[in-house]
Amino acid sequence: MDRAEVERLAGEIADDPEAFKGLVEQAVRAGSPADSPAGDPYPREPLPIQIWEPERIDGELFFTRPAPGPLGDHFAAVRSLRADKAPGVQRICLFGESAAAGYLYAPWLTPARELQGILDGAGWDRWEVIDLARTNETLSGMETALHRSLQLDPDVIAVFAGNNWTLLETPEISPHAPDARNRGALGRLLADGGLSGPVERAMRLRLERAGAFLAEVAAQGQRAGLRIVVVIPEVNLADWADWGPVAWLPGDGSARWHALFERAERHLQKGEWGEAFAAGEAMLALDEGRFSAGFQILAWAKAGMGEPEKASRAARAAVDALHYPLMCTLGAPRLTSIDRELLREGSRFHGFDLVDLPELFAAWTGDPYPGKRMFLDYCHLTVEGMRVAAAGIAEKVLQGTGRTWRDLATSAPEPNLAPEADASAKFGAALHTAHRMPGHHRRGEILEHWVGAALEADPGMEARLLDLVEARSSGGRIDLTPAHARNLAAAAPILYAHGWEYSHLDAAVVETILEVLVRLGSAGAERIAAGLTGATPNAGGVLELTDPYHLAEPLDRPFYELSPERQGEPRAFMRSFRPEISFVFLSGGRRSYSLRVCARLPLAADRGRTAIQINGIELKPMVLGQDWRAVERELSVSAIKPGINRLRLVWPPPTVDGDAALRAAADRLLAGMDTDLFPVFGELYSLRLAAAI
Amino acid sequence: MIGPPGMNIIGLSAFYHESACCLLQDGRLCAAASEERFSRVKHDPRLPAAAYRYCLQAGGIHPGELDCIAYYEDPVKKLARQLWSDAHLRRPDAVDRLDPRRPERLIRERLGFDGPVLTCDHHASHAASAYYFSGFDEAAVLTVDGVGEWDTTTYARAAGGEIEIFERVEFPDSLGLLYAAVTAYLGFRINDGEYKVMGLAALGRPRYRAAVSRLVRAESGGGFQLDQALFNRFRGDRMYNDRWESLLGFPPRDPAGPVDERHADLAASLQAVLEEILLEKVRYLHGRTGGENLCLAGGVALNAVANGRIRREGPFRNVFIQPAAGDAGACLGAAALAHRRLAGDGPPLAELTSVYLGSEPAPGEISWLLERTGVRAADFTGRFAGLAEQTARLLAEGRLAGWFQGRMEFGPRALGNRSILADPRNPNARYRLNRLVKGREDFRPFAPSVLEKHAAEHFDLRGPSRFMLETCRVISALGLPAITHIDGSARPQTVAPDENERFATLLEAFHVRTGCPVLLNTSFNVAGQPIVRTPEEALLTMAAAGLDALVLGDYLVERSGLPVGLAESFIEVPLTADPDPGSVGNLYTFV
Repeated sequence: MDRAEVERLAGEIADDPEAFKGLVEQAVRAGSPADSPAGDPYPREPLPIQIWEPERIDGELFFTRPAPGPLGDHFAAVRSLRADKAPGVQRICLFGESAAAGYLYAPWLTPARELQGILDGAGWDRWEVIDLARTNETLSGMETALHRSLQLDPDVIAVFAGNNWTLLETPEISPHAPDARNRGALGRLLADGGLSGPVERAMRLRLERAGAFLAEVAAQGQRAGLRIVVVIPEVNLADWADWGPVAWLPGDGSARWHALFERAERHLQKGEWGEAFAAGEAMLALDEGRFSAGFQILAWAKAGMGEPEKASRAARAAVDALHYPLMCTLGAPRLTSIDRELLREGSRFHGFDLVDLPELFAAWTGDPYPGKRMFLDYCHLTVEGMRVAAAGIAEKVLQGTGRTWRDLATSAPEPNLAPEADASAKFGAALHTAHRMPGHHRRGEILEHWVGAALEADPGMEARLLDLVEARSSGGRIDLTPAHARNLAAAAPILYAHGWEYSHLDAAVVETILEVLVRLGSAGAERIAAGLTGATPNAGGVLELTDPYHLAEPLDRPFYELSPERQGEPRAFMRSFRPEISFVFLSGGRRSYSLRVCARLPLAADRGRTAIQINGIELKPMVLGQDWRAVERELSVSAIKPGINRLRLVWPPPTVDGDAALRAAADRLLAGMDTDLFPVFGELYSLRLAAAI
Repeated sequence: MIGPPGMNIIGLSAFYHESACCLLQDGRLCAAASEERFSRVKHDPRLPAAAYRYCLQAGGIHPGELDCIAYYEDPVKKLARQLWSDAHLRRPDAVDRLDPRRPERLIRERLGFDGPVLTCDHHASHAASAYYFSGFDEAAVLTVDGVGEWDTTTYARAAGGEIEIFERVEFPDSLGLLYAAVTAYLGFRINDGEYKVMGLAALGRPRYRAAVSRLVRAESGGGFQLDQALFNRFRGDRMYNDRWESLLGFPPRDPAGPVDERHADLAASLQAVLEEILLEKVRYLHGRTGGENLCLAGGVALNAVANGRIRREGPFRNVFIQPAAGDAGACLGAAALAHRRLAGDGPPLAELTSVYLGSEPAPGEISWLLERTGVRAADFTGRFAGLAEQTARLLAEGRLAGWFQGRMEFGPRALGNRSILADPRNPNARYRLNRLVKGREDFRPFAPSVLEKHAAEHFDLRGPSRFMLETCRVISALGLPAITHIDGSARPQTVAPDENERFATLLEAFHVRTGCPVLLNTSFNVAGQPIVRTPEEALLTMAAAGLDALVLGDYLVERSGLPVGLAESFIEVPLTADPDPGSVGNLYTFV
């Protein structure tokens, strides 16, 4: 594909919905069932189905999985699957990703269980639901599992997937792809098509792969005489936001983009919707709609103006603009519009039954802008969300009986859900919100909602939250603390690590727990405050704040430096891809500290001033340049709070021309090297905090 | 002489074997560590970014205060060899592996270093890592490994701080690669399983000696040749070829399969041939250089059995073996050579008598760890003799104890600061260690540590053996089954109070209690893991391995002091094993 072709395609897709549909159709028709080889669809000898291994018990074939660990795993907690159906029973095998697996509520409640409950409740208890959905599922994993599931002799296959596709299906189109040949190919796309090149390529590839998957599902269905139900996922639009830093834009566009973003956030905080909207539009003019933050600003502004339809459209555009090849920080998996269109068109083409959750949710709630009523986080469903999704599948299964999804959802029996499990799921939503959503004007409110909901769900939750704070403030590995041991012994343990795996202070969560308990007038608040103040967060009185434990925002580290398979060569210092970075530490609030910063500005033409703030109080700025420089500052006791303290660095804007930087990045990729597509605002070698003598 | 004031040089080895970093500060070796100890990836070959941070911290400097980074091989020369051998061209990561600018680029981009990056030839780095730290002014230097750029073996004379390499053996003729190829044939991992082959050799008879001698032929002078018709040097997946099966009469061992007599006999044959060639080449080197001092480095210099023979049967009176003789230790030589280039002279020629060059816990870190994890421990602060006596008592009762003190060792051996200890008189200690802690093959021996002043009573040693780099006969009247290999040998560490006071105090306490000045000393790790670095890792390893006790600095943790969550991870194994009656010495189950 040459440059002209890429640009033409990008222009067509941006401007013309028909071109968009054409792409989809092309992908759908690329692999039709007629192309698939005929023959016996069933595996000839017992083969494992995901982690369920075949075993014969008294001559009968079962598939048995290993016991899950104390914090569960990514598969349904059903120990054994019997190969043969009981007489008269019909089977539904449910496949899909974490939303289909009931992430956060699993194993206590899942869409499969909800579906079974609805079918049983409606008097159709000869249907048996087999839960083969799994967190982190991919197309190839699902394809294999689907074929192997024929050993269970299903009658209906339900596929509830699509959220993971942008994140997991085109890993090779990344400037940090492990294979140098892929990096070189990306360099060519970038050199020929600019930022659109990799975006278009990833989208095409994803559609091809997803289209081929649907064709394979259809082929399997035809050969085995199965009915196929496809569930189109809906995503959280109102109460989730996701963006990453903008890549290099022409001239000083990246710096201006960040300045506009900061301005928009200020306006949003003040409820100045019109001004925020204008700033969002200006961001989109700079990034040409290739990054999600501008659309997200528009969505918030329109929601603030009381225009949910427009807010919804803008929020969907924000989801669509989160492109894997241009991402620097971890993104949340959510189905894009083009993938949704593929699922719709593909289902029509192959004759699948379709459960369109965007339509069902809007009809059920009367709200086009779905949020925390139906979602725990970016895509995982609340009990109500699961119920509607399961009712949608049940309607297709019970086709011809006159039962509608709405009446099935309305009459669904209450799930048998223990308060501890409900509370753990809701607190899991709080953790995911803190760990996977960038900080913004609404995050605190969403966090408070989920912490409050968890406490409301189970009065015993407070003690478990106190344990979490104790474990977090220990300053080391949480899994070694007695508090974590108590958590593991609970009926429904909390997975502390949702989305942020290493040990860290988890300041936003800890602060929110404290605020909610204060609001509720709980004695636990005092215990937390005392614990934070009296904690011994380190040994020897010296803290290295660049240690991940002290990072305030998990998304301040690029995902490719965190994920083991992409880590490559390690780095001896920390880089900041945003104009600011914050660190947190615990203090008794009764002492001054000396701070020694060793930092540099890799992209500065000359020396630049970097601001330092402690708890919002400005210290004397640092003058930094391209060479490492050590600077010392005193943090006086008057600026230190008892409990959690925040140290913030605000970098000067980079002075490198964006076009040149992007060309240089493309050149590096063409030479097989990895590269960043983003400005690095500052680099930190060390941030040592010592108690002043 | 001492280098120019304030001169800070980082030596760095990376991107093949275990990567490592050291800091030479004003000509003095200030810190050295392998990256695996920080990353927790065994034999981690990646850029040693965390070890680098540690070295700078130990020197109290930041990257802007460094004068130079010295890299341990010449990437351009290496590329020439790679292209010639065609070994990496078809691999998906060929670009990364072949790019000769990559090491310097990564040093600049990932370590944030803008100053001069000097490259040193691989074997020159090895040679310098031995000579400059040997304490000898004049010495012969022998380096032997798999392959550097082109060289696989070099012969040098050194005097007055200068090293002159006067003869080389080049790729593909390599004793290191020969050993690796046989290691692979025996079903062990290359660059990891060579120790196993060495341990296995003691169990066998060298009945494949003639076959191994067909693989490698010694030549007059310093040379030797591998029969290239029998090697697959152009294939990345293995180094031996199909003709080995007819040569040896048995197929390659399945890594998951049993080890039998044939495998032990092949290992014994390889070891015998290697020792003969090395002894012959050492004699040749002596003939060329004269003198009484020999320096040894390179991965093959970690072959403790061969080293023992070189010391006992070789012509040199004094032998210094670099304690981290493999690629990790080559960073020391690179730093020393850079010092010579920058300062006009090498670092001071002082003998490296201690390798406690790694990180240590911050003040208060251990008590803080115990507090936050809810571990109950006895505090012996200010009463170290009491701690040593208590530990000696536990060991004498047959307990296994983790021993964690001060700075971590540099190099592959645990030398009393990151060790697991046991009573060497107790045969069940081996059983428990192999089965429970180490999860390793029964044929692998454990090493002893002995008070230096009593070493000659128990081991046939010619002098101090600080770094466990050579084997010798066990001559102890005590009977030390847990540390005596099946051939009657052991690989001892001699411990003097001025080199490791705490460990020596413990050995003394054990001696007073039992009359035995020897302890079994194995590295503080479980199978597949690097040796522990931090107190936290020590505690976790104690839990995972089911150790009975752990000494962390001044604290003694017994198993009963662990909180329930940690204690539950133990697997109970009886103190007295009931071994397979068909085995020999509780260990060699296949004999």
